[in-house]
Amino acid sequence: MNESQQQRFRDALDERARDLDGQTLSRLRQARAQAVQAARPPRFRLQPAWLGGAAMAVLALVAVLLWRPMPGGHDDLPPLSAEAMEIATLDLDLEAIEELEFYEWLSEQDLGPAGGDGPA
Amino acid sequence: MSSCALGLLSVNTRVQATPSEDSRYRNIDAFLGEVERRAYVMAEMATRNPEDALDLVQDAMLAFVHRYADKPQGEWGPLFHRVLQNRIRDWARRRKVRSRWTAWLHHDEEDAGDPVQQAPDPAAVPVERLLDGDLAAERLREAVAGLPLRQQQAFLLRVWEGLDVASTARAMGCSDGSVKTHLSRAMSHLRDKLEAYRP
Repeated sequence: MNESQQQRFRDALDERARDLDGQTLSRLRQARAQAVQAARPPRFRLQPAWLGGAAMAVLALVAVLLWRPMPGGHDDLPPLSAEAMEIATLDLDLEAIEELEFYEWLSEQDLGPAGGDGPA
Repeated sequence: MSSCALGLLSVNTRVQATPSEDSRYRNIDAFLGEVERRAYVMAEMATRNPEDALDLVQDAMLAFVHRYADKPQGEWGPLFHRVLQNRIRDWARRRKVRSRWTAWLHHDEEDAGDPVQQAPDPAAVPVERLLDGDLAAERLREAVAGLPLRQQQAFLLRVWEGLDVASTARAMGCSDGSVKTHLSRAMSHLRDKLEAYRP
């Protein structure tokens, strides 16, 4: 194909590009505007530090909500007395607790009539 | 002002475009405005469908901006055509698969090679009398649109867009030798078309 023939093709193609209808040109302008907009950074870009802070804030909020006493929950129980607290904090031997009746009997034997080890 | 508000202010300040960035956006806009018509015509030639052509150009613009807007401006032309030609090639592959399924579903494979349907229209106006008018230009565009896709891409990028062989090869995703082969076949095909128009 010689140069003159190639030029004829070029002219035909240029003509088509030049004479596009208004609707097509409008759609092309919209596409271009969208592409340029996509090249711009967003107004508010979430940074990793902000994401971390937001996650911590949410966790703290959840913790506060869960920490709040539930209505009708443990608040209805009477406070522990000092003796109960003392017992609760004692480092007791579980075997001793299981044989509590035996020790109670043994202590009664010790506090019985003086001078004897028990009834003869 | 609270520290939170100060933080927000600093974020907004950080994303505001600098004068050089504004200039860059204007350059992108100008570049796309310069190539959009020809890009559309190329896509229209390949698809023969205005809607598909517009979708392809829009996709190509977005992909170009995402991937290559940071490249030196002198490289934008070949890079944009690379994106566009890739989109066109993907479209052609999808259409080929779809047409196979459609043909299979409609059981009309026997009509595909009908020589009567492929014969030239005897009622067509002789082109030698039309080469001076609008119809002549339409005929020439139709001849280009009728080329196989790779030949069409090579012809449009080399002859119409004026890219050199290396840039055309990059845009088409093939070797320089393949570009020359495709272009040679396209030229031969179009020359035959022109000869066929002669009395």
